[in-house]
Amino acid sequence: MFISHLDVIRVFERAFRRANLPISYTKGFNPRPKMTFTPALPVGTTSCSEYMDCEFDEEILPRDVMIRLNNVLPIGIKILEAEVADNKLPLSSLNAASYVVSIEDGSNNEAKLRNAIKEVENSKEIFIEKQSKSGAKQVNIIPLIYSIEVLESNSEGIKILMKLSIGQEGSISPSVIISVLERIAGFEFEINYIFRREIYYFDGNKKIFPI
Amino acid sequence: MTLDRLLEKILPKVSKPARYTGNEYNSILKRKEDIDVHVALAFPDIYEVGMSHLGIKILYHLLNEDSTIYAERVFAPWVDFEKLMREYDIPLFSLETKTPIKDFDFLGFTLQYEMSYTNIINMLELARIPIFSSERCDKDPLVIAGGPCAYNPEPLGDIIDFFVIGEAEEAIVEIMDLYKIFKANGRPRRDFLTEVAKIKGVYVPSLYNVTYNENGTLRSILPKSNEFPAKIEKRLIANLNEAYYPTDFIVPYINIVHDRAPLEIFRGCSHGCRFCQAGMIYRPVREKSADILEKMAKDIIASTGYGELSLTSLSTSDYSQLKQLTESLTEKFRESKVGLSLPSLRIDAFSLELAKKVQEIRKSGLTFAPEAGTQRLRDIINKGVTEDDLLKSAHDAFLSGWNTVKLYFMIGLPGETLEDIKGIAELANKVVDVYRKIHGNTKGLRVNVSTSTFVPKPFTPFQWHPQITLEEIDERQRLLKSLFRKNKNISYNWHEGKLSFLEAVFSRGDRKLGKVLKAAHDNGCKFDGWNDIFSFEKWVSAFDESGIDPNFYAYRYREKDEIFPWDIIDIGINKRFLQKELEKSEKGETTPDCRIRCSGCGVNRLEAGDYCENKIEI
Repeated sequence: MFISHLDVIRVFERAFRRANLPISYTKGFNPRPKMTFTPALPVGTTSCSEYMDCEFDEEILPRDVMIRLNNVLPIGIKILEAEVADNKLPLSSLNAASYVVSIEDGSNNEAKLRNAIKEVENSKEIFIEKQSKSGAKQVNIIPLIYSIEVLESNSEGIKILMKLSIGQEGSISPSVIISVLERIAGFEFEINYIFRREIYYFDGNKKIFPI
Repeated sequence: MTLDRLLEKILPKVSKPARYTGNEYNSILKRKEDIDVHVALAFPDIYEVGMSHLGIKILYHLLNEDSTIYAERVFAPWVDFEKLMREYDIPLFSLETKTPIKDFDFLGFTLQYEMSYTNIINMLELARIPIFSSERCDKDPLVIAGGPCAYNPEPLGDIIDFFVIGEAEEAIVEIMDLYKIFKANGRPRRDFLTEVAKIKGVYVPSLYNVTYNENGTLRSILPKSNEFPAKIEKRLIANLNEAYYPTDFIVPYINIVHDRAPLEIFRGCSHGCRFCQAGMIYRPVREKSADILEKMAKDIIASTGYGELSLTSLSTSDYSQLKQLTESLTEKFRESKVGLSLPSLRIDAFSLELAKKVQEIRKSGLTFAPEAGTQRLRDIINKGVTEDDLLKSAHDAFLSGWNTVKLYFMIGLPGETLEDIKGIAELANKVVDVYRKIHGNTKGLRVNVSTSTFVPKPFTPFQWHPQITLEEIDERQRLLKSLFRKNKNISYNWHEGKLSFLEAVFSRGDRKLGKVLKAAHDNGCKFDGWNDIFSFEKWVSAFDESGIDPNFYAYRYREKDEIFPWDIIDIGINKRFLQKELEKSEKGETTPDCRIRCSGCGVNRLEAGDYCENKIEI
């Protein structure tokens, strides 16, 4: 959870070598293993639904890849399922992710939070400043939010479920939503954790998963 | 709240949280109930620097081979996390099991750089361990240290309980064996210190009386009892082929400074450059055999998955079987796309041919280290490189397609005049001319000149010399800046002079400096090697408050018969040899490489060394 996307790529590059798996390399002066990943997981976020495509020089059973990689992956990173990628949903088409954000309910702020969520839902536009290479620009985040809801609320805190856009059509991280909600609700959240639960293609009605 | 929960909450707020979380591949987990001795291996800098250091890796895996010992790691927290640690009252903890450092049996520091000393004090404070050795009690860990700076242990003499001088692979095991007996019998720390002082290579400063002359120089360092050695002989691994070397290195998640698998090919250096401490203290040269290295390389890559293997030593080109080794490794790793990196390579036709095969070098450009701008000065420092060598190598490199070279020099070397400084600029210009002659113009050429200020080091022929003053440093750097301003192919950068001044103070310092370190720490000094944090003003007031004159250490020309704080250490080389080298330097005479002819430094009495058989006596 505390490592960056580039760190994860390096973890797999080395794990493939330790597992002695025949991963294909790009041609050229600086060969890289042929792997593609789903969009970067923000540092500090845990997840149970990351996907990668990888290409091999020879035919190999997905199950073998999974077992051999799991033998050499560090604690905290595990392959849950492996299948042949041909004829499946390409990773580049994924456009949605669900996050669970758990915050402390220090002084019974639940009502304020629910109001803030409602206000976001009813808004047509909320602009935030986004840093890019060409400088700061204003982005409307409303089209990037599918839904926000309170999942449960108890003595351990409040769990919020956020379904947000990722991928080529634009993406937004849950921490940005949190800061928007904080601004509207007028108090600062004590975050326990942020967890990415699912990544999928959302066609407007249903979720389609890569595996 | 448990520490784990608390960390989960606050680590997202700091930069690079993986510096503090551990759990990297190949890191070692043991149950604390199963062990007898708990050792915290500490590096007084951030994770990325400490994890790049070979010595701490060797000791980590070596100690953990013993199932009754658990060695964990701890690094200096970066300022953002330190602030939160203090705010949330978190004591310094180990990376593997998050155990408070105060609960360990040993806390062992690696001393790589004098300007990390304030970090040692800061880490002790964060660990809630008393800073001075005399204030610690039986329940505190034994605070120990080793590494190159330990060759002059005195500045930390009041802070470190004991030092291990030299290569520690054997000594550390002897120390652990002794400690197990003492711990099993519940004997006090005092008794252990008097016993451990008898192990070869161990220096317990509290068991030695230090006296000074009226002029502030050292009069004597004498053992309080004749059971303790009058001189501490450095430890040395005579046969590296039989020495322990790990193959299952920890693979960090985050990018570290040297993010590759290290394969040590030999220790020691035969060149005898007169400014170089490493060249003296690590003598004699001991190579590992290519056959053993090939096997190790294969095991290391299989166990770590690293995409790059680095052949490490003080001077890679000197390795007698370099061609055989690099050819077989390139062949072996072609399939799995593992690159070789060859740092510290002397640039010549052979190494360029090698470099072409070994892609990693191309990215980083080539580094030449003539060290001084004129032949006269290169002879004084015994750097056996001529201008012709350099220009020919540059010529070969440019012909082979390189267009970026780095030239590394020192300023303030003994006997240096402004002519030598101008010589640096002239040499750089000649390199540009070589390029122009080949390509017709200088398009695409980058010559990066960098200078650092010479710091006289213990156990070198220049240990008697003063450092040049801050004004002189400034003057010489300004001269170079003006000389390079005209040429747009040359860029010039320099090492902060004030930092070099403090390095000079502490590298040849004595025990009186302990209170300066404490005062500097209390003024807020830490991470002094980091430009954006370093504050010279805080150091100046630390010296003032302690009533210590730093100039006494940096600027004094030491008398030939002066007793030095580091004379308590015996590195195997005779002081007489160093003095003779100093005299030769004053006459501009050079001394040949050990491989050509023995010059009788005396290290042969340690009964090791590939070139020490045909020794001479002086």
